[in-house]
Amino acid sequence: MDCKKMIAIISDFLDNELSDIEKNSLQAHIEECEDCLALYRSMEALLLLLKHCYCEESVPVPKQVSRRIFYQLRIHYKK
Amino acid sequence: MAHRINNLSDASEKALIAAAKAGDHTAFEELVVRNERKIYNLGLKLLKNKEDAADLLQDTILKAYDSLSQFKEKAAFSTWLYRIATNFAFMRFRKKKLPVIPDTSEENPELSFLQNVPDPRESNNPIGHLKNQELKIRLENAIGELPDLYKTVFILHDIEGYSAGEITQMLDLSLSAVKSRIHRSRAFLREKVSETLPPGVQ
Repeated sequence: MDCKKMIAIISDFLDNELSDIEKNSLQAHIEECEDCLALYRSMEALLLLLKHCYCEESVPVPKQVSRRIFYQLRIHYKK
Repeated sequence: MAHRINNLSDASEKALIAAAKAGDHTAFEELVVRNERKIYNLGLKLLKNKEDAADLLQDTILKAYDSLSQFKEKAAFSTWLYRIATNFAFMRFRKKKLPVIPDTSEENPELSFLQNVPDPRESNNPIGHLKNQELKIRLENAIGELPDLYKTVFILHDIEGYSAGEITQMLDLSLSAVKSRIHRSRAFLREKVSETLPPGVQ
């Protein structure tokens, strides 16, 4: 495996987009290559951090915003 | 006069779209109610500002109403709304001329950041000891530094949870272009976050 392409390969692996053959090749490679193992762990950590930081991010639309949009929409119907 | 749906909250998305296309305003408004939160939150993440997110939502809803006849129902209604919203977001990016950073090549062999981040599988709370708030601010700043299209693809994929395939429909990009942007954005963020980790974790 080409270490230069590992970010893309590991990224695909973390998105569960590799075939079984590709997964096996990746596993065999990172068992032998410390740099790529470290890269794998750091990529996995980054995605966990993102989930951790953004898991509670969804907020409701403020009522006044929602009211304004429906008001504008009803004006818009008449155009 | 369009045929009206009696029980809007129980109606399927497909039935609502059909009724809305036939001119039932209440059906369209039910579609808005079901999707406004998603679009507003996307706006907050892309534009980092409540007023701009509210304007983005309004622009998106009015445009969706005007363009409803063009919605072909190949994708989910929310995917189509995201597509409209991201187009408006790009227009706002262009107006504001946000800074653009050069691409961080995924082929750079010198990338060796975050090497000693603890393996997340070795602990139930692998990131609990990190300065989460500070880290979040750094992450948000780093995401803000991504070029517009990279940022949009990244937020849709890694924060909003849309698949690369769905994003191709939203942004009119090829699958390889979407994936390339995901990979490069992650590489860039990994590099940026590594600078913020406390001693001993870097």
